Order: sequence, then C-alpha cells, then structure tokens
Amino acid sequence: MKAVIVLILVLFFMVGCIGSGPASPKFEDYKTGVKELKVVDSESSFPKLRHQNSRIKGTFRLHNQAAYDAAEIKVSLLGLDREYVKIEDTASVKKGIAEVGLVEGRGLTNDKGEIVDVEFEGFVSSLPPGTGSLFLNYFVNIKYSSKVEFSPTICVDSGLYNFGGCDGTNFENSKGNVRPQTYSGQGAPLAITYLEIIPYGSSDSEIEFRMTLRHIGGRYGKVGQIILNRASLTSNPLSCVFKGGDVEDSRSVLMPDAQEIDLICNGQIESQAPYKSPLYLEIFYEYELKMPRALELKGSASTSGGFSS
Amino acid sequence: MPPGSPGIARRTVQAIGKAARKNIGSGYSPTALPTFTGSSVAVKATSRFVDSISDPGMILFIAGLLTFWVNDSITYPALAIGMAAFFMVYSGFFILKGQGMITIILFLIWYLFLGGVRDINAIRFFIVPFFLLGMIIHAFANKLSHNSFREGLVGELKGAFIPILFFFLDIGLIDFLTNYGLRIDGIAKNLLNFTPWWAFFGLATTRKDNALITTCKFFMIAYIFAMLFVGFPTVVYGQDSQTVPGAEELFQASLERRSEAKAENPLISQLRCLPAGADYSECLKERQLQSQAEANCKNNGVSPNDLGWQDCVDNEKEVLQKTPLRSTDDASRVDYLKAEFVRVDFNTFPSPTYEKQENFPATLIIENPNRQNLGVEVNCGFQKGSKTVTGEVVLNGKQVTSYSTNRGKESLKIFCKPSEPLSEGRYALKIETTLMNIVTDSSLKRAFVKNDIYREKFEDAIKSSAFSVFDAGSSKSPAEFARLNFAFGNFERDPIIVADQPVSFDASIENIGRGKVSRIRTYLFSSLIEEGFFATSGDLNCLQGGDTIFPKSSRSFHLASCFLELPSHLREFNDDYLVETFVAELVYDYTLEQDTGIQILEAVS
Repeated sequence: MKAVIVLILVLFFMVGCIGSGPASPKFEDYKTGVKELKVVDSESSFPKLRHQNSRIKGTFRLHNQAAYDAAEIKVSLLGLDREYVKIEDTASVKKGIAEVGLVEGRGLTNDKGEIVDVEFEGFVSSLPPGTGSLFLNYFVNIKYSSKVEFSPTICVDSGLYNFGGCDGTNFENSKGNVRPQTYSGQGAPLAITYLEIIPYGSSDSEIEFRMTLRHIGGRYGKVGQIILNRASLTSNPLSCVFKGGDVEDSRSVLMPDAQEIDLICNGQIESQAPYKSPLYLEIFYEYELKMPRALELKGSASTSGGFSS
Repeated sequence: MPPGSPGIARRTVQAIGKAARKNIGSGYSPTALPTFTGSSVAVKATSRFVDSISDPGMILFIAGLLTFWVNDSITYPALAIGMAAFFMVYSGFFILKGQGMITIILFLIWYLFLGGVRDINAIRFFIVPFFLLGMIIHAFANKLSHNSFREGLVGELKGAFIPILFFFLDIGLIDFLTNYGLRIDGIAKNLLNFTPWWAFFGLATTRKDNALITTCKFFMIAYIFAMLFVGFPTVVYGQDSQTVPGAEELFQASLERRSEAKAENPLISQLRCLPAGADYSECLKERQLQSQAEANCKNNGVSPNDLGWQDCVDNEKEVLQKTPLRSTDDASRVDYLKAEFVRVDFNTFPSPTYEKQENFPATLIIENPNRQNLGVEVNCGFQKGSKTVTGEVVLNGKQVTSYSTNRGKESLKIFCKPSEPLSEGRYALKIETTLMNIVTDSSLKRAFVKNDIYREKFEDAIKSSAFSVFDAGSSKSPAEFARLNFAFGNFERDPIIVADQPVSFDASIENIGRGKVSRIRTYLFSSLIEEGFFATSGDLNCLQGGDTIFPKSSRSFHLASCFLELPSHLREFNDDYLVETFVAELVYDYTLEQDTGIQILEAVS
C-alpha cells in the first residue's frame, strides 16, 4: 500500500515538474501565408442607404493584417456619382482623398495589426422628382505602399563535388541542384511563390536564383510598381533582374496585368562545399485595393407606380 | 399582323388571286382568242389588248390604275367613297362571281347609309353575326339550288371579306392608322401611300393569260418585291382607339396625308437609279433623301422660289441623315405624370340620341404625383366629313376651357355640347386636352478619364461599376409623354470620356406618348451649363433653346449638335476617374385626344 502511495506521489511530482517549467514565449511567424490590409465593418461604417437632401457621414475601417506596415495610404470613393453625393473636404480628406500616414502591420508589438478609421462626410443632393431608389455603385479605393521580405535559409551547393548536399544525404543530383521550392506567402498580398537554385557548376563559384513573384491577395487588389530594395546571400549582394512578359528591369518594374513576374538573381558563393546560408530579399511595392460598394439613395416617390384609372 | 404590312400585302394579293380564281372555278368559259393569219402585228396586238380588257379583273386593274393616278385631285369625300363602293360591288359581283354579295350589300347599307356601329367593342358583337347571317343566307340559297351548303358558306365569307378589306384600304385605312399610332416610317410609308389597291386586286384576279397581262403582273410582282426589298418596320399601335373610323374619317385621313408634300415614289426612284449601275444604292438613297427634304421644306411653307429654299433643303437633309437619339425609361422613377381618357362606357353614353345639342361626357384622369404646375386646356368639336361643328366645353361643372392644377390626382369631368344643333347622322366627337408646361427631365451618366492610358487601365472597373447596365450610354427619363434625349462624348454613345480628346454633343426630342407634342416651350441642359461646359463649334446654342416646332409627322426629331469644351475640373483631377450624372429639362405642351363616334337620330314626329 505504501509503495502505491509513494508511486502516486512520485507521479504527481513528475507531472508537476513537467508542467511547471518556465513558460516559453509564444512565437507566431507573421511572415507566412497570405495576409493583407482589409476594409472591415464597424459601428460607424459608411452608410449603405441615405435619403435625398441629407448629410452622409461614415468611416471605412482599415485593418492591416499583413506582416508589414502600410504607408502613404490614400483612400477615395472612386466613381461615386458627384451629381448626387458631394464629399466634403475635412481635416483628413482633401479633394475627396483621405490620406493616412502609416498603418502598422502585425508584429511582436501588435499581433493583430493596427486598425485605423478613415472618415468621409458629405451631402446627398436632391434626386430627380418621383425617384424611388437610386443605386450608386462605387469603389472604396485604397492605395498604399508596403513591402514583403523573403528570407529562407537555403543550401548553397556549387555542385562541383558530390558532398551529398548540406546534410550529406543528397546524392541524387550530381550537379548540386536543389529541388525547386514553392512558398505559400510571406504575410503579404505579394509573395515569392517559387524558388529554384541553379549552381553554375564551374570554377566561377556563381549561383543563380530563379524566383516568381505573384499577387496572391484578394481579387479586389492589384500590385502596381515593384522595387527590389535589397537582395543578398549571406552578406553578399545579389545581382537581380525582373523578367516577365515585355518587362525587363534590374530594380523597378510595373507588375504586368497577369500579376506575376519572374525575378532572376545571381551571386557569388563562399565555398565550393555545400553550406547553409540565409537568402534575403526585400521588395517594396505599391498596392491598390478596389472594394466594390453600393449606396442606395431614397427619393421622394411615395408610390410604386401603376396607372389606376 | 395588322393590315398594311408588306407581308400581308403580298400574301393578301396572292391569296386573293388564288381564292378568286378558285371561286370563279369552272363556271367561267373564256372567250376564244381570235386567230389571225397573216395580219399585221399592230392589229394582232390591238386585238389582244381588246381581248384582255374584256376580263373583269383587267377592267378593275385599268380602272383602279386610272383612279389611282387621278386620286390626288379627288377631294370630295362622296365621290371617293362612291368610287370605292363601286369597285367593292364590282369586284364582289364580277370577279368573285357574287359569292359574297349578300354580305357586301348588307355592309354597304349598314356602313355607308345607316352609319354603322363604330365602337370597337360593339363591332366585335356585330361583325360576326353580320358575316354569319350573310353566310347562312347564301348557304341555304345554295342548298335550295341543289348545290353544296358548305360551298355557299365559305364562298360568302371569301367573297365578302376581300372586297370589304380593299374598300377600307382604298379609302385610307393606312393613313388613318398611321395618324393613330401605326408606325410606318420612311420608304415603306411612301410605298404604301403609292399602292393602287384596286388595280392590284384586279390584276391578281385576271383569268386570261397573254403578254400584256403577264407584263402587268411582272410589274405588280416587281412592285411587291420593291416593298419587301425596302423592308418594313415594326408595327406598333400607339393608341388603343376606341372607335373604328367611318368612311369619311378614313378619307379625311387620306386627304390630310395628300395635303402634305411627299417624297418621290420609291419605285420611280429605283427606276431612275437603274442607270447608276454600281452606285445604284447610293443613288436611291440620295434621291429619296433629296425628295423627302424638299417635301419637308414645302410642308414647312418654304417654296422652291424662295431665297432660303436651298438652305432649307440642305438643312433638312442634314437633319434626316442624323439618326435621332433614343433613350430609355428610367426604372428608378416610379412617380411621374400620367394622363389618360377613361374609356367611353357605351351603356351610359348618350349616343345614339335624338337630342341635337346633347352634352357628351368624357373623363380625363391626370396623375401628377410630383405636383407639377400644369395648365389644362380643353377643346372639342363634332366632325362629319369636311364639316366641323365646334363644341362648348364644361370643365368640372364650369363653362371654362382652361384651368391650372397641381393636384396629385385629378379626375377631369368634361362635357362637350355642340354650339349649334346637329343634323341627323354620324359624327366624330373629338375632345382635345392639352396639358401645358409639363416638365420632363432626362439624365445621362458619364465617366471622365484623363487620357487613353487611364481609359485602358480603368475601363473595366468603370464599366463594371458605374455602367453595369446594358443601355448605359443612353440618357434616361421617366416614361411620361415626351423626352429630351441627349448624349455627349468622344463618341456620343460611349459613356467613357477621355478628357484630352474632342467631345461632341447631340440631342433630340422624342414623343413617347399616345398624343402629340403640341409645343416645345424650352429645353435646357442645365447640368452641363452649370458645370461650365460650352459649345465651341456647330450649333453654339445647342445647350438651351426656346420655342421649337415638333414635326407633326414624326415621333422623334433631331434637335441640336455641337462640339463641347469640358470644364477644367473635368479635364484635370486627382482621382483615377470621375463619374457624374447630367440632367436636362424639357418644358412642353402635350395634347391628348379622344375620338368617339356619335349618332344623331331624326326625331319621329
């Protein structure tokens, strides 16, 4: 009996020891998957229905769920019929465009991403006499600049010797080619989705990276200008060029309509023997989000029509 | 399909010929052709001609053709109607072998001499028994003479229907229907106006076969082909007329048409353009355009001797060549002005009456939900042939002819009393109500982009958002009586305007109601003016105007064209594109008419 009690106590002790260790900080890698700045509903959302001859006021809530800050944000109500809705200038809105400096993305200091309300106000004019409902379609147009980083640790293998790759087990490919990798995203609507490493296999100790940049955000978004700010292997800069469709430029390019472009980088390797090294790319881009919205304006009509004689 | 369409015209003529020949059947024994041996060709031809004209169909053809050519000079209704009646009886008796004579004679007595019943609802109840009676009498008569009962029945129907139909066509059914909303435009209208109905009928039923008849038939077929060749527009009845016309009304309509100058007969245009060879279609188009323009000028009181004749013709040609803009009903406009006469209830309507100065009632319902300030003017009269007796109007119990209203719904009780005692007979009571100062607005949406690059970039977004409906390029307005149609852009009907390219503007006015646009007071493209648009060339006053004549014979007419300069805020802006709706207003008078057949009876002492 004593032995059973001792055993139970020991088990309790062991369980207690296991469970009472120091709490390790919960780490979430924000820079994965598809995350982006979104327009979300709020209590003070811009109205969907107004009557003629009334004021209209409301906000569009911007929630930056991406892993990077969004800067130089411009919000406008694109295509909202000026005859019926006059958007007025306010402290934050000038000539129909609201400007927001920066909306922080998700990170260690703000794991949900920053939320900012952009307010518009104006006046709904008179509708033509006898109007029932008038539906105005428009876009909440959000333009901003942001960036995406790509920083995998890769195995650099010149392919000159069959060392069996970085972990010594990869003897399959005598030229040192590493199987192409695909990526689901880096926490932004623009992502490097494909990487292929091609060693030159000569004494030049050069290596080539073939990557694909693709817009993987929502269907209302579109990537504009892309600027490759930094590309390096370990600490050695890479020489890169964008290639896609008719486009070919070393640093800056306008994303083609297909919203996909190749990026080819070349660099020196440090050793003929395979080694692991961080690849780092920092790409700035301009982004445009056009969220379709409709505003119903009610006129003076009191009946549903129909001639009664 | 209503009478008067080419399809019907062609099929009717062919069917008539077939039916008539069948009706004639074996009972007819053609005169043997005299044989000429060794005689001269001239004698032979003359003989053939003489032989041909002994055919009743040929006689009708020649007589129909002759009366057709002198038709324009006949302005006396009794003569025209008498001739048509004669042809009706002649064709019934000689061509259709008297198969439908009972019905024809009954019709003649009823329609011409007794005045007939002209309420279209009532006539439905009359016409069937009417034909049935004739058919039964004929069928029994046939049976008694030991012939087929069925033959008599069907023969009476065929033998009466065809001459009666042609009688109506000849005295002006097409013109009458055209006046009351049957839409026949352009060449097709002219062709129908130039149709010698009796001549066609006669030729279709000739029983002989020689070179002369074959040639005539060839020309008849060519004429029908010409009708088909130029096509025929959709027929729309704009008015649910409550009465069918009397013979004099039909003829009156025909006279009205004849009083207007006409374009050249299209068949003549076609013949004259034959030498043009490859340019045939261009020549035909030009001749018709020229003659229509000249006709319009004459109808507007300009004569070829006037100094402004050539300017007028050039201007008319330009207007005719411009296709008037169309617009669409604005579905968002649920409350708008409506007015309609209440159907006459013949159970309570005082006709026929022995009273020579009866108060004839009518009711006009006006729905004015936007409470426009309208003037209402009422006139009435009694028409019998060319004679018109004016009527005294009582409006809502007061002896006035006009008043103003802005009530949401108005039931206007009208009484019309002849100013002098009416004599016995049938009259057309015409009540005309003119709604004055009607304001109908139109709207047009346009998107502006700075240049072609922006257009290319945002065209899809613009079209999927602001112009997601099919007819986005057109202006819209409530389905009232008339409307101002307008469009502007790099291409007028293209809703996306590239700001750094020329912008043209076009406008027209369209009558979409059942009545007539009696006066255009003003038109104003207010948004365009307020926004700072202005005309740089073309008609510099294209954005506003005053009194304008709306052509009587047209449902739509071109108003103005010009090139516009965009205001600076629509040329330079920060946004990717701008969307804006522009409104315009038309102020006009609109006349609605109610025609009711009445009959004054002679009191028996």
